[in-house]
Amino acid sequence: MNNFLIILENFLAESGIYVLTFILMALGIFGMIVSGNYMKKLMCMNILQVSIIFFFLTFGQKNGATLPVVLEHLLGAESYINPLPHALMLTAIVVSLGTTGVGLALLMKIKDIYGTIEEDEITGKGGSKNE
Amino acid sequence: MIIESIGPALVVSIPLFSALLILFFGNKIKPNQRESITIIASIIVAAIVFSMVSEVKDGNEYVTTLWNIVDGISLKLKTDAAGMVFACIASGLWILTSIYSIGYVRGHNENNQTGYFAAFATCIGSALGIALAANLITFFIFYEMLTLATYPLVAHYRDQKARFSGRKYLAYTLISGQLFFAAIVWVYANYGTTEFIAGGFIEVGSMSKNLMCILFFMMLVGGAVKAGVMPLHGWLPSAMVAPTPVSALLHAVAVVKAGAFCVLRVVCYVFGPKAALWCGGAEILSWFAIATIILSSLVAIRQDNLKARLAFSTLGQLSYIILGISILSVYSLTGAIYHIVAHAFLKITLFMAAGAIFVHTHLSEISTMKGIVKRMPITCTAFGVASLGIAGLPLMAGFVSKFNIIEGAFLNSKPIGIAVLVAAALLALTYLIPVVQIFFGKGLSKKSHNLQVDSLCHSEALDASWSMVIPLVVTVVISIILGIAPNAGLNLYDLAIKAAVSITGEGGIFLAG
Amino acid sequence: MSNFLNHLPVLVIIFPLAATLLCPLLGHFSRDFSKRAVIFGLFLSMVCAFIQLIQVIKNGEPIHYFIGGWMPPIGIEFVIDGLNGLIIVLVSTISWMTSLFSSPFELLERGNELRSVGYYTILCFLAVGLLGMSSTGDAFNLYVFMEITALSGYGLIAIGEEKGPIAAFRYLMTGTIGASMYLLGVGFLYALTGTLNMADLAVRLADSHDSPLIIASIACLIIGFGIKMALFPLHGWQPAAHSYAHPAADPMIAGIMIKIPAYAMLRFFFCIFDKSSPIIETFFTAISIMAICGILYGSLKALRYDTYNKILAFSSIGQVGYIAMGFAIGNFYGLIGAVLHIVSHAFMKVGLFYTSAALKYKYDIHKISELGQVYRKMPVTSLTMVVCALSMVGLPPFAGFFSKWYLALGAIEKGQYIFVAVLIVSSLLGVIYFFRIFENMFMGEFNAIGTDNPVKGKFEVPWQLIIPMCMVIVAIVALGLFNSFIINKVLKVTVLEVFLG
Repeated sequence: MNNFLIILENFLAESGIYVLTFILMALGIFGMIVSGNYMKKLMCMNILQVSIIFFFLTFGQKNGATLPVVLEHLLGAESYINPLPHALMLTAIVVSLGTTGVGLALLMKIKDIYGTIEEDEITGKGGSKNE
Repeated sequence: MIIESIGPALVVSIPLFSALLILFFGNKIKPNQRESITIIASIIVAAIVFSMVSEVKDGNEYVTTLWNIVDGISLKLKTDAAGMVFACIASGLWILTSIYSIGYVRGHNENNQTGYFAAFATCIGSALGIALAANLITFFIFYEMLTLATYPLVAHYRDQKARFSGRKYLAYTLISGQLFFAAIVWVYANYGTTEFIAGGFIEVGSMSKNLMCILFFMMLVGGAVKAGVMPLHGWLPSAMVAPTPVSALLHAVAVVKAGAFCVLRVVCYVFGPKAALWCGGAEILSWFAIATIILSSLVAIRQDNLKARLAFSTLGQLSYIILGISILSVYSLTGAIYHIVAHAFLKITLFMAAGAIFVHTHLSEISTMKGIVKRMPITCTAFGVASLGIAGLPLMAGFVSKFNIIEGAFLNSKPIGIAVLVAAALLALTYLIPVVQIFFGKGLSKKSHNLQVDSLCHSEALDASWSMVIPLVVTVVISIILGIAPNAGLNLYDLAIKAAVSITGEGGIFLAG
Repeated sequence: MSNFLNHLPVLVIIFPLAATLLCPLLGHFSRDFSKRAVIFGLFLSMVCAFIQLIQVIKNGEPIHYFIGGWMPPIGIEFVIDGLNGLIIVLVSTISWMTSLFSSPFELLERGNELRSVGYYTILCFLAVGLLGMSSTGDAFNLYVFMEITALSGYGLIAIGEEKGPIAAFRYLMTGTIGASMYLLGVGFLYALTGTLNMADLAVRLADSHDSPLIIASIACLIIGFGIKMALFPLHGWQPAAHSYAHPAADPMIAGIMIKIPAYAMLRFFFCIFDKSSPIIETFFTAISIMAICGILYGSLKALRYDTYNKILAFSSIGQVGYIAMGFAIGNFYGLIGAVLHIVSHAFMKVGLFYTSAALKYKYDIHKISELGQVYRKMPVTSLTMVVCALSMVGLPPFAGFFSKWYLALGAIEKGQYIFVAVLIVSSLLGVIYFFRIFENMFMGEFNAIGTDNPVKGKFEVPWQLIIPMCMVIVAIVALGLFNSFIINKVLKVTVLEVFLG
């Protein structure tokens, strides 16, 4: 059991975490394409964004390193994790928050106009009207 | 010698500027004021062009180099001998066609007169640009401007028929224009220059024979469509729905002549006689021209609509020019360039006469025009004289040019060319003389008589209005004078010889053996 | 004064940013205040952009501006060379024109005051995003500005016509995938080099151009930029978004929102990556196939529609293909053609969408079959339409012809004759769909069914609409006639040294 955990940890530390991130990303894109409900699409979009954020964060990590914050005494550069990806991802999180917000606002508007947020119903209703 | 001057730029820009003036203010000022813009512009342009002739005849060139229009090529205008011939014709005939147009559009109460005069001026401006362009890219810019400016004229009546012929016109000219464009790019990429040089800048053997032949025809197709070489002539007869002065402009002055001139520039100033003969393009071109001459004459005989008959006659006459170019000897080139002049005066007379008849009596079919000479003696006489000129009767301008082409064909031992030219002259007689016969025939036919009574327009006057009659009398008189003394006035014949000699070089007669 | 000149790159963005922030505040007091603040802010930005371009030309070398004084690669750097100096001038000019153009439209709005204020805020923010994208020299900063652009774009599309929200939502979905892909691509590059500064990236990537990470990164970047610039087959969001956006904002969205990603793509592919490596060559082949398909697809699809905006939108897909084709050609004239086409097509499309908006404003015309004889009532609009359309087709002496000339020249120099054939075919298809519009306009029956929106003053539409349209005409003619000045003074150095050096 312990052995298994070590293997798992090694796997995750080397390439596994990336594989997981990409699975997450693929799930997000898959969901955005497949799901017929706009709300679900929006959620899948969030999954996609989160996966990208994970991806950035993982390559900032280091085994045995600590937060890049001066606590008691200054360590060597090798003992801190790379702070830049975190800083970048803070921005990316803000952006994704903004995107989600706009998306939600649009959904409310769509709901107002069409009375539904199911893609099939909307295209069925408006598809032939305005072409 | 090269004379730096803004003359050529003025020649091109004045018509374009006047077109803008007409377009913007045409509806706000009185028609007389609007037309006076056209007339004044045309007189100024003609004066500038004519004033440059004597220097050009002495071997000098006026050159205007404007800014670089694309990287490495400047917008450049120059007055070489051949260009000068075309410029003289275009600017001189602009005065006459404008006077005639005023009579025509008013006599016929056309719509959209402002747009009409603006497009007309743009056409002339771009034709002058084509005449004076010193390199391919300048040439192409004016070439496409001409295409666009002619479109509203062709589609002038804006009905279903006009729409259709407008579409047809665009399809032919723009497709060929795009091929021309690709060919220009190709030439520039390969040779690094687009400057017109008498005798050409493409060297024999600079690319494989077949490839050069393809390039040759890609370049030529632009001119050939405008000049109506069969089988690319389809747009010309259907463009006949346009008002008659437009047809006159299309057929005699601007568009088709621009096409023929384009062929001249490409064959003689881009490829040059040596390369054109080497790649075999000139030979093929001459066969196309021969076919067009014969076929168009045969088709013309069967047309009952006067303008349609004249249109097919134009196709044949234009192919004389192209045949003369493709024979590539000094005489034939002289003849070809001079035929631009001769045919312009003759064909414009015929079209103006046809238009005058149409406005005055509302007749367009030849069979209904029996005895019309009694109503319109001056017009019909002019028509008769011009018909003889087209057929190539001596002492008319058409004779001078055709004789030169035949001489060139003879010296280059092209018996087929001679045979074709003689046959075509006879055919021209067969399709134009019957018309004259009908005009001068006895008695008005019943149908035409009725129509005349019905028509409200000038039914009492003996002939069409002065503004239509004077131009056509002037053109027919000029074509007789040019036939008797080819050098009269502007020395256009000398210019044509000069251009031909500069293309083939001094020993050019024997070049194409 | 010199102090002021030193800060030009950031001032270009600060002015509209300040206007964006002030706009909702001022909107509480008066709607007119907020509107004027935006127009004024964008005007200042335009002036700065012009001065900046002149500075760049005069100095003959790029301006490097370090935000907050932090030196790259740690700090964010704005790099202004001839190329993006020109792009910034383009963006700020069109933004200002559009803000002016929008001002009569709020009168038609049914909504409340906030709506108009909100419109201006978003419009100005869009300009900020686009200006930032063109100025920045930092890959992550580009992402942020790209998202600013996209978010404001979603808003402007959503407040448009009835189908606007749906179009905006779809664009949001696709656009986010695009942005995420871009971010992923940048992530790969960062993982490989540990830097985000573009110049620094170029240096550090020099010896690792065949690493698998690079391949993945390029693929992600192509997808990302491709979605943002609506490159076939990633254009799915574009026709609806361009057709249903707010008529006054449509020129911005259709005209330049798809051009700036194209510019960014040019930066990435020619500055950062080593274009001589076989991998990049392969990707360029892929791009060229996308471009050719896009040109033909866009032109053919445009033939099918009767809705004016739809025709314009599909034509944009084709025209973006021209730009991508220029990248794929990749030699001096190809790139010149692509850059000129970015600029000239921006003006053409902006002009055409101005006419579309003017037609909607005056007669509520949406379809080309309703255009009959409109030119008699709206001469300036029709003239704009004719000039822009002829330029789109690529007829001289308008700007479109010259970008086509350089593209064709580049293609022939590289021996890619098929590109020339595609250019010709697409021009001819363009003739068909634009002359269909002309035929309807000049020869059709007058049947403007919409209400005639009465307009005060001398012109057919308010002067705020007339000025931008006239500016577009002047720009198209000037860009056409004086293109070699632009190339020699502005672009030549950049393209030769930075991209091909």
